[in-house]
Amino acid sequence: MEALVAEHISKSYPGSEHPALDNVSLSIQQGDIVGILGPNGAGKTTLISIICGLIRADSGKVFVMGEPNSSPQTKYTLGVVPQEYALYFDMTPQENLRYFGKMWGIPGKLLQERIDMLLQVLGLENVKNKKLKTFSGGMKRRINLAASILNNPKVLILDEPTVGVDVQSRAAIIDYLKKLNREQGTTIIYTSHLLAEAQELCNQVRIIEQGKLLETGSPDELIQKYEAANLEEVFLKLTGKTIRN
Amino acid sequence: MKKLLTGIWKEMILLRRDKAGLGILFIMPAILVVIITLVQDSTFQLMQDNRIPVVIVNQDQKDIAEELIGNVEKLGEFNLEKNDQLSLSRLEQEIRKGTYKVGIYIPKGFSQWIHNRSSGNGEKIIAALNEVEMEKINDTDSSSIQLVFDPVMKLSFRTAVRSGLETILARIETEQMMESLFVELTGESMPDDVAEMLNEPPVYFTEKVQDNSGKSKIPSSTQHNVPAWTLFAMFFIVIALGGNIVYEKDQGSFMRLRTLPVSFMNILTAKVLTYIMVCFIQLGVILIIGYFLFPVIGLPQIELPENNVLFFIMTFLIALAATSYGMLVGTLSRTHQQAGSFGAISVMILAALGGIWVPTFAMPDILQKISILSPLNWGLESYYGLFIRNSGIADLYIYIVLFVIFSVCCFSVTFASLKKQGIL
Repeated sequence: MEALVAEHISKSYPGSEHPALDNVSLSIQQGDIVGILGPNGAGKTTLISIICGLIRADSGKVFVMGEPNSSPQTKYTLGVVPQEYALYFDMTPQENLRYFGKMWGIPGKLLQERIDMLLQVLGLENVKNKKLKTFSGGMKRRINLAASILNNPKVLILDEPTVGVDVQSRAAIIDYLKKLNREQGTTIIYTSHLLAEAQELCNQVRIIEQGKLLETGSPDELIQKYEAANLEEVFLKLTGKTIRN
Repeated sequence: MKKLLTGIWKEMILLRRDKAGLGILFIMPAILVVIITLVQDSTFQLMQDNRIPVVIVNQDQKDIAEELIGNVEKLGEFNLEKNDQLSLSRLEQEIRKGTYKVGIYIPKGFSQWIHNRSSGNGEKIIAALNEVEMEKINDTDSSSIQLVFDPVMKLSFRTAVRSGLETILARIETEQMMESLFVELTGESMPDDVAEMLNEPPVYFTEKVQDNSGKSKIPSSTQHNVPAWTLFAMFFIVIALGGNIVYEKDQGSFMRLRTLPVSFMNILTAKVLTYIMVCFIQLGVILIIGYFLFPVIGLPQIELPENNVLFFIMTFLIALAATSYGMLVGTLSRTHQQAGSFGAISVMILAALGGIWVPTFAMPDILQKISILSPLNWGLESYYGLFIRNSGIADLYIYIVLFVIFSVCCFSVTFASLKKQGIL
């Protein structure tokens, strides 16, 4: 079954020469881990924001688990890890997670169990009562992830979840995402500039450039197709070596 | 409802941990209300409790001079010190040095001069009655009283001292003249009861400050300052609330909340209710200070409004207006600094225009007209109505309407701006 279907998505921003997205269609199967890759300004964040319902497409439709993304039900099936921390630094991890969990409507006892479990799995149990403002970037990223998966979403969207994070924290995040996918069948859609990470994590990738979908397939398929050594070489062959702003 | 309460819980945690914000919301207004009331009250006391140091130099040492000093003492407006050793030039020196604020110098021959003036005037009246032409008396003022003031004394105060002395002198002079007339007409000295009658003040005044309940209430510095600074504090939530909204926009928590199954109105309502509660707590803190602390430090105790329901309604509307303004500032600002500085400066301007620092009646005409646009002026007038004049809803309905319109406008612009920024 398809976890996510996007049909003919187009979006232009006022004053911009090129459309941010130009008739992009994609289909993602349930249980896949899909990397949406592209250089700066390719349209990755716009695509993710449209899928999450944060911005409206000029044209096209998005379905999450068979429901239009505008449906209230979608908010229960979709988890979003934004690029920003999107947390309250004056609150503790426990308080942040309790707040977002209650906003999801998770009952008290179940919520506490999930908070305890996530803090333990993500290595934050010993700092659960400390304010976030004292945390490192990696610790904040892990809380950011935890806040988005409290509800066990069927589809999890992550916008560069490991940006500016130390190796250990990145490993912890990637390991947990794999576990989530393996054990709960969570469909994961994620954007990143780290192509080695994407190659390791994803079983599918979509490469977009200047608002257009250039390529679809598994990392191995694409490496074979473009006779490349790795995903990074495929990426450079498709998008060129010109530096983007 | 649970989500709304969770939102309030979160806002309370954030507020509690914002030490600088708490200082601005609670400590600053508490200190301001105490200091300003103490300053205003001490000025009031200075005038009332004869604490202005006045030196009186009596070089004359005769009856009229003594009578004048006795009357000045009875007036009870000054902290009187007698020092007959000072010369006029030495007195001027002491005033310049700041030892005294006011000097009254009675020169030698003053009593005689008054006697001469009085009897001369009495003779003039008799002569006029007998249609006899009198030779003009050479009336020199070389023996008149010299008043020496410290330049810091305001004109109004100088005028008050001068008027007080003139009144006393006029009475003494009249008494002397009447006595001389009495002697001229009857050939006998004036009986004591007639002399006493002449000593009485000519007109009696009864001072009353009238409020709407018909009860007399003397307004004090407390009664003026507690409502004024409470209002100022309530509007100062703009800084904390504006900063809070900018923070949520910057950090992306607004964006995360939009992906959760919760109405964004719920999030905003939690903020509004939290900050309205903060305003009520501010009011409570300042009233507690006015009620319990002020009498301990020698200030008049605050008298609470009698109409509690109307007091609650007006406070709620003022808090709603302050909160809506804070939301607006936070929404329109791009950075925390922008929200903080614009919020603080705009509230200062609105407070100055509203009459928090200087009463609006003391402002130039143009500012008086502009002041009616300040919500702090509406708040101040409403609170003065409740705290001082015992006003009812009929007197305050105009402010209720103004506050509702102001809040609706602020919220409308806030929602429109949030929509434009893609947050709502």
